[in-house]
Order: sequence, then C-alpha cells, then structure tokens
Amino acid sequence: MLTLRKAFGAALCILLCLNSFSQTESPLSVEWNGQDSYSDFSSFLSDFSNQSPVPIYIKSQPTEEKAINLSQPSNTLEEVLESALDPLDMGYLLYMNQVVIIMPSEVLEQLDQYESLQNVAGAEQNLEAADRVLGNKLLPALDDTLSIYGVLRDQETQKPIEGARIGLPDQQTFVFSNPEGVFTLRVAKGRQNLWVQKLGYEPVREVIEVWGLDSLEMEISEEPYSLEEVLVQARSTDANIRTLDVGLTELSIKSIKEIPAFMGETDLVKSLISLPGVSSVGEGASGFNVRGGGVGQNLIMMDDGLIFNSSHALGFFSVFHADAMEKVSLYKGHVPARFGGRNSSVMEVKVKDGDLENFHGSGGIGLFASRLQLEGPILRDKVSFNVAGRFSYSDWLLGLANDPEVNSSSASFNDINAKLSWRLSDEARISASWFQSADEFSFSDEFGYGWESTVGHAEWRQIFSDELTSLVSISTGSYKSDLYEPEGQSAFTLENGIDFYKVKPTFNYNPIPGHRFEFGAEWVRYEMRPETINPRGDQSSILARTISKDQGNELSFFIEDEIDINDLFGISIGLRYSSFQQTGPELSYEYEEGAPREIFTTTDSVLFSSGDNVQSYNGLEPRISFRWLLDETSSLKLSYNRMRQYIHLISNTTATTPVDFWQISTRYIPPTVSDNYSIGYYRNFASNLWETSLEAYYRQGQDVVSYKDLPELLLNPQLETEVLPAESRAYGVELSVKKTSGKLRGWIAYAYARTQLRAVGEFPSEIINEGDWFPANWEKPHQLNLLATIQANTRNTVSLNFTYESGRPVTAPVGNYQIGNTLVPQYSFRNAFRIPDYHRLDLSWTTDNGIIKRRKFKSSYTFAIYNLYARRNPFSIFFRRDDGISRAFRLSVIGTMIPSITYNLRF
Amino acid sequence: MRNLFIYGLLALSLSYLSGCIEAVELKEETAVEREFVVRAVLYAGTSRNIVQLGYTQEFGVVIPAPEEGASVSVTDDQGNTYSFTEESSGTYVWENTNRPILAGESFTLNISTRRGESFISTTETVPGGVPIKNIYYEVNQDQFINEIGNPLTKDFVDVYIDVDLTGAETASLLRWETDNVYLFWEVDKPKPPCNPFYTPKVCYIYDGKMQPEEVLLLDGRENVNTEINRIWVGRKQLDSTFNQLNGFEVVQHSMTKSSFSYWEDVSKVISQGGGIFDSPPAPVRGNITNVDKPLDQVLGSFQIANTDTAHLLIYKTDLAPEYVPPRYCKPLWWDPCTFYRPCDNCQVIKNSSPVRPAFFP
Repeated sequence: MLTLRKAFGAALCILLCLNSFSQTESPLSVEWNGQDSYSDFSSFLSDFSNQSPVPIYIKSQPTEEKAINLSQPSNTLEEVLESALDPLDMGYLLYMNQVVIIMPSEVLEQLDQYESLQNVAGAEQNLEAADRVLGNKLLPALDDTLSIYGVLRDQETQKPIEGARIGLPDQQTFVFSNPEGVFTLRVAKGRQNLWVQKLGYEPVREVIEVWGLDSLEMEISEEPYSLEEVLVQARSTDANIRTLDVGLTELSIKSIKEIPAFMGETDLVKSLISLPGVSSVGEGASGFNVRGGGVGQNLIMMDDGLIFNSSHALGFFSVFHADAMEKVSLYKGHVPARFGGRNSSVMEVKVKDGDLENFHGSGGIGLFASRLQLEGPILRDKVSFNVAGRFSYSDWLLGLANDPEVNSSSASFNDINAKLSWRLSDEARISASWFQSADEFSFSDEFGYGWESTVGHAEWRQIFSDELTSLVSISTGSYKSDLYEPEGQSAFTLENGIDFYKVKPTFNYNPIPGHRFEFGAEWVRYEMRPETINPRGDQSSILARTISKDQGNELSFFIEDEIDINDLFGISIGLRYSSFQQTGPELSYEYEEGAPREIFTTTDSVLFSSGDNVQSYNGLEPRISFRWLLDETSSLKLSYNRMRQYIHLISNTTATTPVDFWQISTRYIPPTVSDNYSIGYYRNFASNLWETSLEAYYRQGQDVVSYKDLPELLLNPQLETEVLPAESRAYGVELSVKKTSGKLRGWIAYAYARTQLRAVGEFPSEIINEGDWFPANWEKPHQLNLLATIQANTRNTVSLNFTYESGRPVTAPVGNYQIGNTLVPQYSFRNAFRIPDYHRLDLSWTTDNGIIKRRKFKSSYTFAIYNLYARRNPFSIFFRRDDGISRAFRLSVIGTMIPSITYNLRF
Repeated sequence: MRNLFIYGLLALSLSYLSGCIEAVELKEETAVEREFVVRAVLYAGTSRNIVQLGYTQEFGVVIPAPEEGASVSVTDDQGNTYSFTEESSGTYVWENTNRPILAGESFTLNISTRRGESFISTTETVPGGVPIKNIYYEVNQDQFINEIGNPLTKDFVDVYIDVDLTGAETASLLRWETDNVYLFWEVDKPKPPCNPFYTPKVCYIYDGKMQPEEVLLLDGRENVNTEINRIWVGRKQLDSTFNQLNGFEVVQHSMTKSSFSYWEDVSKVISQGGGIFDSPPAPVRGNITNVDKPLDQVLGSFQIANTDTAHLLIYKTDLAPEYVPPRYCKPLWWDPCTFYRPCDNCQVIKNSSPVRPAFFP
C-alpha cells in the first residue's frame, strides 16, 4: 500500500503542476504554421481547421470567391483568421473558447461586438417573441418553478441525442440528455433563455415562456459544413468533469479508427486496451482484463445481448465490426445499478440504427480480411436497416509458409450483424438485431478448433409521458466451442457451450426536478450445454462420453436515482437486488465430512429432477457515485459498488482458450462478491482542449474462483473437487492526459495495478502458496500507453501508438528431485516469476480524398506497421528439460514488424 | 491435448512468418527456498523398505542434499512402531523380514529431523494386489517428419500386459514401471590371429526406466471385476540392442488413493510445458505435513504399494527376418583387426554391468 500511496502522490503532483500552467488564454493564440496565400477560401479554411485546436463552424459561405493573401507576417491563428476574413466582409466569434463560428461581419455587428453569447441571447430576448410557450399563459401554474421534460433528436436522422448540454444560463442550471435523448429541467416560471449545446451540431438558443408543466421536443441539426474529420467527440466537451461516472470510458468509432491496428483491422477491444486500467495477457490472447479482474469478470454486451467470447482468431481481432457499431462504453469504476452479473467491468457496444433518410455504406479490403456495411431506409422516416459482415481469407498467407504442416493448415473467421429499426411514432420505436460469428482453425491434419457466437436481440422504446419512458429488451443467444483431433487412434471432438435467454425492462421516471430515476428488472436464464467427447473417424479408440452441465436463473431488480443536489454536488444512489437459483436436472455429489472435497472422498450422490431448486443465492448490491464540481474545470468523484457474479469462466490457463467453459454457481461453487471503491480527480485545461484524470481504486472479492494445484477441468463431472474459493484484492492508480482536438491529439495513460489472490482452505490441498497472497496470472503492475494522432492536412493522418507493460507472472521450475526412477521438477510457488516486459510501437498512415462533402464515394488507404522496431515480445514462456535442467524459452508470436495495407471505402 | 493450443499459436505465428523461439531469463519475484523432500515406500510382504530424506537442489544437482541423523519410523494400526536405521547419508532402511506387511493394514510415517522439526504422513492402508496375467510385445512402425520435412519410418518394439481385476475386492489403482536390460556379448569380434589372447566379454546394459517422462497409470474404478488387456507399458526403438537378447521387467504397483493422486500430479508436472495455454504448473504436494508448520510445503510422499512383476525376453531369433537389426560390430575397413569402441570393450558402454539380471538365462 505504501507503493500505492507514493504512486498516487506522484500523480497528484503531476496534475497540480499541469494545473499551474493552465490559463484561459485564447486557443487561437497559437502560432500559425501555414502558407502565405491560398487560391480560394475553401483551401485556406481546410488548412486553418487542421491547425486550429478548436472546431470551426461556418454560418454562411463568402458571397464571392477570392484568393486569400496573408500579405503581412502573421504570428497567431487569431491574426491570420482576421487577416483572411476582412477582405471577404466576414468575421468570427470565438464561442466560450471552444468553437470558432465564422459569419458575415454584419451579423457579427448585430451581436453587440460579439462580447458573449449570453448578451446575444439577452438582445434577442428584447427583440423577439418567445420561440416556444409551454403551458397556458392565461392559466399559469401556481408554483414558481416548473418542470420541463424534453426529448432531443437529430433533425435529420431523428435519432435521440445523448450527452447534449441543455442549460438555462440565467439560472446557471445545466443538465445532460440521456441515451434516449431525454432531459428534465427545473425552470422558473416566465421567460427564459434555453441553450442546447452539442459538439458537431449547431448550437441552439431559444427563448421560452414557461407557464405550466409541459414537454419540449427539440431537434438540432448537424453543422452544414462538414467538419467531421475534425470533430470526434460524441459527448459534451466537459462531460468528463460533470458526469457522475467514475472510470467511464466512451470511445467513438471515429477515434477507434485512428488507432494503428494489427493487419489494418480496426478493433474495439484492442482500442480499449490502450486505455489505462485495461490490459490483456498478451498478443493473441482472448479477452481483456479490467482493473485486476479476470477475463470472465467483464460483462460484454452487444445491444444488451451477452457475448461470452469477444475474440476472433485466438484474440488477434475482436468480434465487433467497427463500421456497424455506434459507440463502445466501458464502465470500469462506477457501474450503474441497471448492470450486474459480473465483478469487474461492463462493456456496452451499441449497434448503429440504420439511417432513416439515405443509403450509406462502408467497406474495406485488407490482407487478412474484408468487410462491408450497408444502411438505409426501407420505409423512409419509418424503417431502416443496418447490415454488416466480415470474412477472412488467411489461407493464402498460410500457404506461403515453407513448412508443409503450416501450409496445409487453415484459419478463418466471419461475422455478420443485421439490425432493423422501426420508428412506430414519435413516442415509440422498436428494433431487432442479429449477430453471428464463427471461427475455425486447423493445424495440418493434427488438430483443430472452432467457436461460434450467436445473439438475437429485440427492443422496444416507448415514451409514455413527459416523465416516464421505457426500454424493454429481449435477447437470446449461444456460445459453443469445439476442439478436435481429426485422424488416428486418438481422434476426437470435444464440445461445450452455453445458451442464454434474457429479458430486461427498464424505466426512466423524472417526476421531480433534479432527480432522474431509473428502475427495472432483469431475468437471465443460463443453460450450459453438455460437455461431450466423441470419437472421430473409424480408427478412433476414444470412448464417447457426455458430462451433463447445469442451468440456472438470475433475477434482479434495480433502482437508481441521479440527483443534482446543487450546482456543485451530484450523487447517484442505486440499489440492485439479485438472486440466483440453480435448477435441476442435476446429479449432485456428497463428500466425506472432515475431508477435502476430492474424487476419492465422494460418498453419495443426489439426483434432482428437472426444475427442482438445487441451490439458491441472493443479495443486495448498493451502487453509489458522488461528484463534487470543484470549479468549472475540475471535479472530484467517488464511487462504491457491490457486484455479485453467478456465472464463472472456468479457465486455468494463463490465456483464455476456446474450450474454456462457463460454469454457473452451484451447491459448492458460491457466487463471487466484490466491493469496488474508486476515487477520481478530473481537470480540464485550455477550454477542455486537455483532459486529465487521476483515478485510484481498490477492489476486494470473496469466493473468487481459483483452482487447486494441477486441476483437471475438462470432462470432469465433479468440478467442485478442483476449484477453490479465494479472496482477491486489486488496487491501483491510473493517470491519463488527453488532448481532445487539434492537429495533434491523443493521450498518454499510465496505470499502476496490482491483483492478488489468496486461498486458505481447511486442508493442505486447499492452500495455495502456504496461504500467502499471490499475483493473478494477468497482473501487470506497470502499464504505459501513448497514442498520438497527427492530422498532417485534410488528406493525411499519421498515428503512433506506444505500449509498455510489465511482464506477467508465471510459475517456473527451480530445481529437481527424484522419486523412484522419476526425476520430478520442483516448481516455484504459484506465479513467483515474471516474464520479460512487453513494449511495442505501431505506426499508421491514412490518406484519403479529403473533406469534400459532395463527393459520393470517399476512399482511403491505411498503411500500418505493427511492432515498428520488431521487438520480440514474449507471448508465452515454456520450459524444456535437457539433462534434468529445465530452461525457459519465450515464444514471440509477433516477433517482427508486420506491415499491412487496407483499402477503405465510404459512400 | 493441452499443448495443442500452443502449437496452434505457433502455426498462426508462422503464418505471419514472424514467430520465434529463444531462451530467456525469468525475473524472480520471491526467493526460492530449498524444500524438504521425502521419498518413502512400504511394500506388501517382506522386503527392504527404504525412506530417503533430503532437500531440493538447484538445477544440475540431481541428488538431493541428504537429511542426516533423522529419526524415522512407521506406526501400524495396532500402535506398534517400527524404526528405520540410517544405512547411508539420508537413506533409512527397515527390513521387515519378521513382520510381513499385509493387505488391509494401515501405517503412518513419522519423521523427526536433527533440527527439531517433526513430520507426519496421512495414514495409508495397504491395498490388495493385482496379478499381471500376460506380458507380450509387438513390432510396430511409426512415421516421423525429419528436419528437412521428409517422412521417416522407424520400427519399435511395444510391450503390453494383460491384468485380471476380477479378484480385486476394491477398485484398483495401478501404476507401472518398465525397465530394460540387454545383453552385449562380444561374439562378433574377430577371432585369432588378430587377437590371439582375446576372450569375448559378456555385458548387461541396464538402460533403466523406459519413457522416464511418462507415468503409466490406470484408474480401475470403472473396470472392477473385469480383465483389461493390451495395456501398453513401454516402447523401445528396434535397433542394434536387439542383436542378441533384450529383456523387459514390468513392475506393477497397486496403490492407495493418495498415492494414485500423487502420481497423477507427478505425471502432469513432468509433461508440463508452461505455455500460455497450459495449466499453470505447481509443486506436487504429497501426504506429509510439517507438524509445527502445517502450511509449509513438503515435497514427496509416503506410499504403500502391493507389487507384481512380469518379465519379457526377446531373442534375436524371435524377430521376423525383416526386423532383425544388421550386425553392429564391424572392423574398420582398412584394419580388419580394429573395431570401434564399444565393440572393442563392452564395459565402456554406459550403464554396463557384468552382473546378470535375475530374469536373464
């Protein structure tokens, strides 16, 4: 803990030092680094927008085309812009140091020399009638303050807009719209200014008159001049300061695509791994670890459907097709009460609704795989579709190998996403989606394995009234995997899997200003498929065997209230009650009293009939998050979560494998319970151009599934004889500095993270490492990630990604001893050694045909080099014995630089 | 099966023409201590029962550092204690010629070291014996891919046994160890006049345990009251060692449950690779506990076995003509009186002994 305190202190110092540099100077005071003249205004604007640290909006184009001559030397962007706009009778407004708005000079003059938008709004108030009247002016409500319930949508697509900032500047009150675009404001009766801000959209200022309780439906439109290459945020610029979530990371697909990718394939999971607190065991390892949690402790959802294996090609890629997705959110600290069932984190991936107005598409052709995505209306403004698919064709690469066994091998994957969205009315919308992915790998005629995921999902969103909205989702799916040896006497096929059924109604109710209630229920049924081994071919001597597996129901109820205490303080208080019931049919074993639970201490068995209650568990899960807005640019947040997990990934290998299987809680395998504490300090600099954060966390877990030494997990009907309930503790500090826009953007993130387990059972075989704490297989104490994206100009983007991680722990042989004729290696305590550290630098360059909006097809090429300096990072350590001496060897899966090229197309 | 994944990743990495394997030094997070090792076996009947005590050593030192001056004894279920005497450094012996060990009896091992530490085993019950019914062999062929990718065919002698479990009262838990000895008689050496005083020597080459990195186990719980045939117990390449006489000794151990579990774990660690898709290896915990520090790790185990032994002799003439290996000892072509060693002197062969095994004619 001393180390933790030191790390926390050091990180705090860094933030404070950064703070001392923070001044509210104009973002346009930076030095101009462009040409002296331009042929037209468009080319000047293009170059200028690349250099500007803040987005540029243009209200109207110049009336005449003129060459831009910056005749006299201009030092700053501010001076250059003035110099360029003056001859065109144009001017600009720097709005809240966040946005530059270019407009005709005469408009600017009307804006009272553009001192502030607030004054503008005030001027309009005196001049104009109210834009909206809520309630009946002739029959005003008796209360002095009234609730406004609103829904915010995109004017073009009619999609709800999340994260927009809706404010009453006169009252200094601001709220954010939720994922359904819904917001609630408490307003003083009478005439008010209402502002709506959302980057990428035209800011809206309206004068409203409020005389009674009423609803407000607003539509905002994207800025007409396409600057999407510059604007990447999908949320309010200072949302990191103001939201109540500690440890929430949201990545837009645009920003994910800027990260250099292995073999040119953009990947959501690999992008998350570049964030602080998220790691993986190594290249080619499936899944990811969040703040010390195991791979199986992450709740991964695609549109609320459960994903049990998020990996393609042994983890080199993930199953999420970026083009089909809208965004990805990772909750690694505070987890809202609507989520549950896992101990570590929640990863929520949203599939895009298809465009209701126009047809769009995108695709790409790479060395390893190709992809295509199409979306558009089926019934304009009513029904839309979004279909996307990927498939790989790596066999030709395998064929290049000289080794006859390798060139006769095969590796492939494919996936498909399909979504149908139907806007029934202004108040109701339904959608249905389908996802399927499959992987196959065979190594010559020696072995092969495959895995397959399927998820079907349907949801119904309904606005019942100003205060009440609902979302009811139903999903079902399966995950199955197989391992086989194709030929010979030992040829076999081993299969396992899991099916699930899920129903989740969620309601949002906002009857009281300053409170946002969310409540609902969730039911999930897990049915584990029998584990079977069957002979393969006529020559096989393998005996067919089936191990029946378990099933159970998880039922949860949740309620949460997000409260704005005042302008400074906000709190989210949630409670989730979860229960789990293991149901028959089940053959449950009894064991000798006073003896360790082992195969040889089995005394009896009990047969439960179908539907019988075999075992039940339940418990409360409080969720609290608190935010203190220290000032307009910084905040302090605290959170506490209790999480209960009733389904466990049984994997005793360092990396997750396709044949790892899921096991529900049973009579002998209790649910895992974790308590998660987080604290975070957030500060933005230079008008939100820089976002910094310092977060610390501590997590303790009970009954975490651990394993006895040398367990037999596959085809074992008495799994309880091999697993151990362990304690866990994970703690760490994460420091992140992010530049959100401008020519150079990116982030640097450092995490110090420890994850330890302790198993002290009643009997010697249930005690690991003599009862001491030992590091988890995936513990990597130091992680550093640097991502830099340089927008060289409108056509070219260069990205660099550097990663450093401590080596993971391993158990290594340290000596020998002889038992009879057998020389037995003496292994160290569990995870007493570490493999060498991991570091890597990637580079990518994307070149496209610019930002010209009228061009129908937009194409780009991405050239990428993965592992630029050819570091032979150890993926695996294995031991070979030679004359009684075991020596460690490392296998570097990617032991050299991997160049790739991908052609991308959008239309 | 557990190594399949690592091969898979190797294949995938090869497909990118980039994977590589190289030796590496690991960082040690916690200091490694020398562990106390106990190897104790009692055999049913009357025999020399041996307990070896020592500490683990670093790599390269195969013989454990012995624990001298300890007090070692076993206690039966009647409370009688039988002491072992230290025969040599760290080796303690009890010859129970007057006290045969019978199936169904229980024994507990007690150890007190000079440092004052006490160790005790779990109480083990002597299992019933299971006879080996038959022993026989087959010549089989296997194909290999050599370093340049060409297939090679080699001949092997596979040794099998049949066991009869019909008389066993409880489930049998069996382990086999197979040793190989072959005869090297310098009969091929030229006669006088090259060596007028030469008398061909006879050597017995004790090749030791076959497949030392494999533990052959059978969990007979699903085979109660049946006969199990064709249990593979060893393989040897058909080579010049079959030029005269080759012998195999198969020792079958009927074991207790704890011994069986122990050997299952030993089997796992000696086949472990430590790869990312392997189960993490671990120290093999036996059935012995430090009385004062029960959480301390003690390696090795106390076992009671009921054994049966079978022998197989294969003469050169037993082999079909196509499998008879070519003559091994030939003179140098330029000097018909000179031979390469060991044909010049079979005593230089590793593990050579003039002592004839008891089962050899």
